[in-house]
Amino acid sequence: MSNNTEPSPSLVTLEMWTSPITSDSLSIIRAEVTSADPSNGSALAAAIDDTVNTLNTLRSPNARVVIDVRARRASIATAEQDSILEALRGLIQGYVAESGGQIGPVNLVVTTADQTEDRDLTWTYLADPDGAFARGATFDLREE
Amino acid sequence: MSVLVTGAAGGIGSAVATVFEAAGYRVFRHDARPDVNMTIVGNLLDATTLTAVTNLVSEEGISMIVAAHGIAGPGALDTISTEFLERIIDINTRSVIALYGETAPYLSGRGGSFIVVSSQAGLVGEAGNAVYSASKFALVGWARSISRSAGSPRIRVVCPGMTETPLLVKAFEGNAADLGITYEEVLADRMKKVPGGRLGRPSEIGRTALWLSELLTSACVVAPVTGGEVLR
Repeated sequence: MSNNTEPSPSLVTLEMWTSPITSDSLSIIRAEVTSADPSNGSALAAAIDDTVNTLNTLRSPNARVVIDVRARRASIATAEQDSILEALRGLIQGYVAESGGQIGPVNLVVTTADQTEDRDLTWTYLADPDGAFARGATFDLREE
Repeated sequence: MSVLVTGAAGGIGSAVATVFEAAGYRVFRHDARPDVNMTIVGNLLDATTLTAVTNLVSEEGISMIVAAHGIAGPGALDTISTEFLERIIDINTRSVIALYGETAPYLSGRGGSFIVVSSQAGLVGEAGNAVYSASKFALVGWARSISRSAGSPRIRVVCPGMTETPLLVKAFEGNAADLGITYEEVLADRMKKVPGGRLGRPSEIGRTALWLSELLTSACVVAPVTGGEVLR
């Protein structure tokens, strides 16, 4: 996707990190939902653009990528949060469908901040030799 | 820890059992058909079998069940018989719910989980496979609802995509017969729709079930493992 000449406020901030549990076998993109207004189309567009650009830096048939979103519980989520989560879900589904075999598994994991153990278990699963057939999936692990 | 795997003589069930065993679990196997290593054999809608399974769960301290049994149900809606429709629903749906009904108190009392093997056909309907889809959709809907019941064990659903099992071969042969083409043509056509570019391995479904069993969340986690063919 093209780069904006004037950056817009984005609905997400993205940061690459590596879990010590899975080391380099899994690339984790931490996506934090910002307080930008989702009704601001340019903020949503910037979030999508940023996410695709980050995914593209990892584009390889051998790469396993997960987008790690920390969110509120579903029962107290805001409309803004739900909007960006669904946008990311749709984006990743389309990205996987469009990319075919040019990319490895890309999945979205949604947790609350305190679900450290469930996140670690999930990174271990997705990095496992038998954890590569899930692609384009959203694993929403939040308590109801 | 102990786990009961149903459908353990089948492609996915046997792989689930193997994965849990490798992870150190004590594994009990059930299937409707006699086979090596089965702890209990019989139809789960038969009262005698269901009682035997429930007693096993009670007495052996089983805290987890992976319901991996099921049958293929290929056939266009205008050709499928009522008898076959009832058989698909009985085996794929009713028996799972019956198993849960009898064993859930033991599982929840031990902080355990009940894991259902549905299908990608339980997430998106498939032509020539509508009754099977209905049976697997029913499991997903039931699981989501039952997980909100007070005192339920943790509920998980894994929805495998095309996986190298005898069940898949049977389903594709049925599709081929309905469509008047060969099995190979059905397979080649279906593979075009899988971004991952291959069939899933039974061991990948087993590993998914193990991961789901380990999660602490009380949410009903539904995991599509489809190579990207079907998403949710």
